[in-house]
Amino acid sequence: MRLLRRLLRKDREDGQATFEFALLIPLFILAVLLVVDGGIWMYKFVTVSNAVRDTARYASVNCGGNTCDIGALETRLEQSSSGFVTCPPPTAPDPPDCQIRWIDRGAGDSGDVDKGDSVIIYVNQKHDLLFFPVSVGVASCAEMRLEAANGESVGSGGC
Amino acid sequence: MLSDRCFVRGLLLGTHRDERGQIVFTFFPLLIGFFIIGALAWDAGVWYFDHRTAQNQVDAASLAAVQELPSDDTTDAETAAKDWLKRNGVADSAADAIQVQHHDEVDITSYCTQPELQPGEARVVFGAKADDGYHRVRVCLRRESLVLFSGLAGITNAIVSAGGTANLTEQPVRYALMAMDPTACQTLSLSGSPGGGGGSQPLIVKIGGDGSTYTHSTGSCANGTLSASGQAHLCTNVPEGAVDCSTAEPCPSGDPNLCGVHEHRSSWRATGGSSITPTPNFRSSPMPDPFKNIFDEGILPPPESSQSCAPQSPLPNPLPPGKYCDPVSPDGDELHLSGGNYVFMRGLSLQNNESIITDAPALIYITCAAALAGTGSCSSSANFSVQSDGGSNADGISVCIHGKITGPGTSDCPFDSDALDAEDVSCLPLELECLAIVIDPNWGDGNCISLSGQGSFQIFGNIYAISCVVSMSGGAAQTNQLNTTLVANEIDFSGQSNYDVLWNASTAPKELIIALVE
Repeated sequence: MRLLRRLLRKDREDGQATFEFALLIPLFILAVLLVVDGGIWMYKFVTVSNAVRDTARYASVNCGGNTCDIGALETRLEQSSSGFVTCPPPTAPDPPDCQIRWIDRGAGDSGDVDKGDSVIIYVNQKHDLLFFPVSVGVASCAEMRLEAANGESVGSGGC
Repeated sequence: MLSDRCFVRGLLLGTHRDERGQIVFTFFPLLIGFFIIGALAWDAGVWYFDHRTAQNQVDAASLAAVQELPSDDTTDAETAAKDWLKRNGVADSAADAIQVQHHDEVDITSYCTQPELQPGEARVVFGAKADDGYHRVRVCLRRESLVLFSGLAGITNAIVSAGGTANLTEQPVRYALMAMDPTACQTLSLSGSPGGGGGSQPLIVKIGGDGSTYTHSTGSCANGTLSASGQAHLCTNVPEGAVDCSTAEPCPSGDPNLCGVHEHRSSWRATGGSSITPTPNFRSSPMPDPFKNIFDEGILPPPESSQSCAPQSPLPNPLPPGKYCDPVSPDGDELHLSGGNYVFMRGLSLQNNESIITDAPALIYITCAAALAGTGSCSSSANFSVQSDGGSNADGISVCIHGKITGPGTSDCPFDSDALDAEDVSCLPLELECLAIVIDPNWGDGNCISLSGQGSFQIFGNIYAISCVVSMSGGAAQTNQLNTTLVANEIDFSGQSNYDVLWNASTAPKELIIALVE
């Protein structure tokens, strides 16, 4: 009883700082977690952007004469992005958006994709935040000019 | 006294009461500060991402523009830079108003800041000027980036910039024989006489210099693209003593008929941003690029339909550059070219003791005007054929195709193809100006170059027959000389003749290497 009275004394101020800190620390932790998750998201953005660029460059240089199939480029895209990008077969359920297209930009007269036309690599994938039950998008696109003829046009549009 | 003590006590208690919420009071500003720092970090991340996006855009634009180089006229390169900036998300207003600068020096990095670009502006800078034009292009841009939280810290705008430089270099391709068909089997084949006696002679193809052979395919027959059968033997520049190519001695390892280096590519790999393309960008003076649309670029006069071709007989000597419609034959003598571009619209045929000689860099373009015009087809002679003496067991030099022969101390090397003698032969190792023979890529899959007969022939100059077959069939034990890089869809050697193929770095076609440099 005496103890309870002591605890309930109005002028009792022991633990005041702890109590207030306890009120604020969740906000602080929330802010830290937001920054960490945001950093990871941004890192993923930059990594995917670099992977898209690298794959587009590879395709523009090496994919002449139908020497590259889309599967091989998707594998390169996955490897370049340290596994952030996954391009499963289109038949897989809920496939992520991972497109590789050769576009006829009018170079040459053949109507096919010639040297001087384009290859487009487009990635738009979901990223699950680490500390929050939210998914955000990671998208990047690069269009590069082909240094070798490829063959038939595959797809249309642009970045 | 007591009241004084009470007063002090009360004062102290009151002071403590006033300290309630002190932690909140001090921690809250710290939290605000922390949020601001976090917001700045977030915005800095956004700006960095925007910079990386801009870097991708300028890289793509510079790599697109450099494909139009080397050239003194950079209009096409500017257009390419604009187009690929837009296609990668740059605002039309910035791309359409792109600024252009030209400089002679190689290092053009600083010209993105001289004068300073304003936000929303882009610039393309050309540099590394050489005789044949600019070889380097830098594309740079500046723009305002998103400001989300930085306004809390008083930052109202952020500018990101990026610049990318693409460079073009040229190097001789190290192949003497290039069979480019990506799908066919046996794209480079030698079929010698069946083994055994009966007076049959081996077919030996020997590649000198540092040249090698090149085949390219992706099909299931990838390993069968290069073949030698019968008494055929192909060897590149193998180490001296390793094998005697002149006697068709079996190669020390691997296929006994294929010695030395033979490069086959079924897939290509680029390193360090450089590129080797399956269909290389050949450039060989005076031919800018046989794979470009050679007529659209004004390199050659456009072909005409067969109806509009006026007879060209007798041929003037020397033959001035221009268009020639009839199946042209030197008529027992030499076809003397004065240098420049020649379009033979119904083929070019050489027979016994005939030759082509050019005393200046020349390009021969052979096409079928009627087929191009959709009005008919060309006769069998409407291609490039060399018949080196149709007689049996004939020997001696019969047909020669030469570029200009120059060399140390020899300003005018005598050359008479009708009677090639020791004096002429002494000229052969000397430097040769370029003679390029190009077959219309629309020719089709047929046999567009035929070198045959029992005499021998010499060809000095590069031959490009990208879409068709080159066949060489010697009937006797002659030694033919090919001082050339021969590029064809398919190359077939047959018969009993020998072929000395010499690769020469100075006359080999150039391969373009495109790379980002900074």
